[in-house]
Amino acid sequence: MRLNPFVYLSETDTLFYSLILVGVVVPAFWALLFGFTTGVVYFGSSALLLLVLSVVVFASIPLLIYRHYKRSSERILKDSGLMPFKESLAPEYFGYIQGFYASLPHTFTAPTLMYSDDAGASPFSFGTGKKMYIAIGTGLLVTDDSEAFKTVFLHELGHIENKDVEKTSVAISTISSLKVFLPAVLLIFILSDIYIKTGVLYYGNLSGHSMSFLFPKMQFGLFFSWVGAVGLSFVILGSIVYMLRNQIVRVREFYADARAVEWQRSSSPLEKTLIKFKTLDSKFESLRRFHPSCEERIKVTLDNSKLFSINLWIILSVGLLYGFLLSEVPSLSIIYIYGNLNSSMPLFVALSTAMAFVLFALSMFAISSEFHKLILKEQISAKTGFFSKTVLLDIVKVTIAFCVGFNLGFVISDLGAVPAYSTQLSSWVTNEFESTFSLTTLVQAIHFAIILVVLWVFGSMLARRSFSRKAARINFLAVTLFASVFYNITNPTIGRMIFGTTNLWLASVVFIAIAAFVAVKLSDRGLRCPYCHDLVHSSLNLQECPNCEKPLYSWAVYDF
Amino acid sequence: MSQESAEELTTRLSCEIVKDLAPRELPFFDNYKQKFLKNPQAFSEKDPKKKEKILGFGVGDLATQVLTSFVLPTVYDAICKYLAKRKEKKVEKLDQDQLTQIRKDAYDNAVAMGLEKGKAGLLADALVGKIMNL
Repeated sequence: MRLNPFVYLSETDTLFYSLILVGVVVPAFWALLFGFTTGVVYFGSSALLLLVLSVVVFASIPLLIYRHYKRSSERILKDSGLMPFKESLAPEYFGYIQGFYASLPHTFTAPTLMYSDDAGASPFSFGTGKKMYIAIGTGLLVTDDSEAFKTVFLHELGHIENKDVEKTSVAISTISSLKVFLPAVLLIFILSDIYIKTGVLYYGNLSGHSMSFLFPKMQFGLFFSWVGAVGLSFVILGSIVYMLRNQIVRVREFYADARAVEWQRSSSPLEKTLIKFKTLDSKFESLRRFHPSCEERIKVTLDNSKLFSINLWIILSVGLLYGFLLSEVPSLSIIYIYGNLNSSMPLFVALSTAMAFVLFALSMFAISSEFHKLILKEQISAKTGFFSKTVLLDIVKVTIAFCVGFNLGFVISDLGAVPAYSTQLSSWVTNEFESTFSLTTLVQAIHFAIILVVLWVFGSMLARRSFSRKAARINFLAVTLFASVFYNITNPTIGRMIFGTTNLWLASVVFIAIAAFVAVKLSDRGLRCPYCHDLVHSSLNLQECPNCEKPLYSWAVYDF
Repeated sequence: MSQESAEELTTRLSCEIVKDLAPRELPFFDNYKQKFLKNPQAFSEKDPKKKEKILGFGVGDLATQVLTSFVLPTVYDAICKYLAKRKEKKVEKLDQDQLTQIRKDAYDNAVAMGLEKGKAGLLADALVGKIMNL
C-alpha cells in the first residue's frame, strides 16, 4: 500500500522557511545590529540616523526579492521566446488539455499554455499569483507518444497544483537579491568606515588631511577584518541559500510526479516516460541538477516510503543553522554593544530574544514536520503506541542530530567571528568556545529531548486530525509555537526571570502543560473526510472514514 | 545561382519532406523556416548556455523527435553541394554516383546531428528523390 504524500507536511516547508530566514531576515537583522553598533560607537547621539539608514537600506532586500519575483514571468516570456499554444498546432493534445482542465474543481485556475520553437526544450512551469504558465517544447507537441505527452503535461500541472512555482520563484529571487546585497553591504561598510575613521564626515575635505594623518586613523587591520568577516559570512550564507534552493526544487519533483500518478490513477505511464527519456548522469552532475535521477524517481513512484522517513540531515542542518546564527548574531553583538553602551541593552535583548525565538520555532517546525511523517506511517501500520521502541529511538536520533548540528554551528560561528572582534572580544570568544564543550551542553541536550517527547505526544494527537496538508500545517504551527514557548519557559534562567520565584515558575510550567493537553483534547475542529467531505470524529485508531469507508491516509482509494 | 535561391529551394523541399515524413510538424514549419532563414549556418548549432529548467520534467533532450529541425540544415547542405556540382560540371542533371554521394552525405550529416539512423535514412532517401525531380 502506498501512502498518500499529500496529507503530511513535507520537508519543503522547513527548507523554504530556512531559506527565507537565511536570505532575508538574517542579513536585515545583521544590518540593523551593525548599524546600531557603528552609530552608537562612533556617533553617540546620532545612533538614530544610522538606525534609520540601515533600516531604509536593508528593507530593500525584501523589496528586491518581491520585484524580482513579480517580474519573473515577464522575463521568462521574453528570454525564452515563448508563443501562445493554439488548437491548430496540435488539436489532439489541445483537446486533451482542455478536457482535463474541465475535470478539475472550479477553484483551480487553469494555467496559460505556451510553446517554444526550441525543439529540445523541456517543458516547464512558471508564473506568479494566479497567472501561471506551462511552456511546452515543440518536441513534445509533435510526438506521437500521447502517453508521454500526458504524463509530462500532468507533471508540470502538478507543480502548479502543489504550489511549487511560487516557492521556487521566491527562492530564486532570494538568491538574486543576495547577489546584489553582498556587494552593496560591503560597499556600505567600506565607505562608512573610511568616512568615519578619517573624520571626513565631520570636517569635510577642507581639513586638508595629509596621507600621513589619514593612514594611522584608517586602522587597516581591523577594517579588513570587518570587511573580510562580512564578506565571508555572506559567501557562506549565499552557498547555504543556493543549496537549500536546489534541495527544495529536487524534493518538489517527487511530489509533482506523485500528482501526475494520482491524476492518471496509475504509475505505469510515468515509469515508461522516465525510462524512455532517461539520461545518465555522473554522481557529481546529479548534485548540480534540479531533478533527482530517473532511477530514483521511478523507485519513489513505486514505493514512496522514502518520503516518509525521518531525514536526519534536515535536523542536523537546522541545528547547524540554529547554532551558527544564535551564537554570532545576537550574543556576540550584544556583548560588543554592552561593552560600549549599557543603556541600549533592553532593546538589543528584545531583538536577540526575538531572533532566538524565531530560530527555535523554525527548529521545532522542522522537527515536528519530520515527526509527522513517522506519526503518519505509524498510524497507517496501526502502531498507535506513543512510546514504542521505534518512536523512542527516533527521538534519540533526532536529539543527537540536532545537538551535534547546534554545537558544530556554534563552534564554526565562533571561530569565524574571531577576526572580526579580535581586539574587543577575543577573551569572551575563547571562554564561549570552551563552554560549548562543557556539562551545560549535556543538560541542554536532556532539556531538548524532554521537549521533543512533548512535541511527539502533541504531534501524535494532532496528526490524527490532519487529513490534509492544510490541516497539518495549522496543527503543526500550533505545536511549534507551543513547543517554542514551553522550551523557553522551562529554561530555568528565562523561566525564573519571567515568573520571579522558582515555585511560581514550576507551577506555571505544570499549568501550561496541563492547559495545552486539555485544549487539544477539547478542541473539535469539525474534520472532514477528503473524499466524501462528511464530518469525521477523530479517534486514536481511526484508519478509514466512517461514512465512505475510504482510507484517510493511504492512496488505496486509487486502484494502482 | 544566387545564395537566396538555394535558401528558397531548401525551404520548399524541406516543407515537402516534412509533409511526407512528419505531417504533425507542418503547423510548426513556418516558425522553423523563419528561424532558419535568419541564419542558416547557426540554425543547427546547439546553444551552449542552455541550462536545465527549474520545475521542468528533467528528462533528456527531446529534439530528436522534431524532424524539421534536422531536415532544414540537412537539405540546405545537400542543396548547396548539388548547386555547386551542377555549376562545376555545367550540367542540368546529376548522375547516379553524384546522387549517391549526396545521399550518403545527407545521411551522415543527419546522424551526426543526433537523428536516429532509421529516420536519417528516410530523410536522405526523400531528399534524393526530391532532387531527382528538380
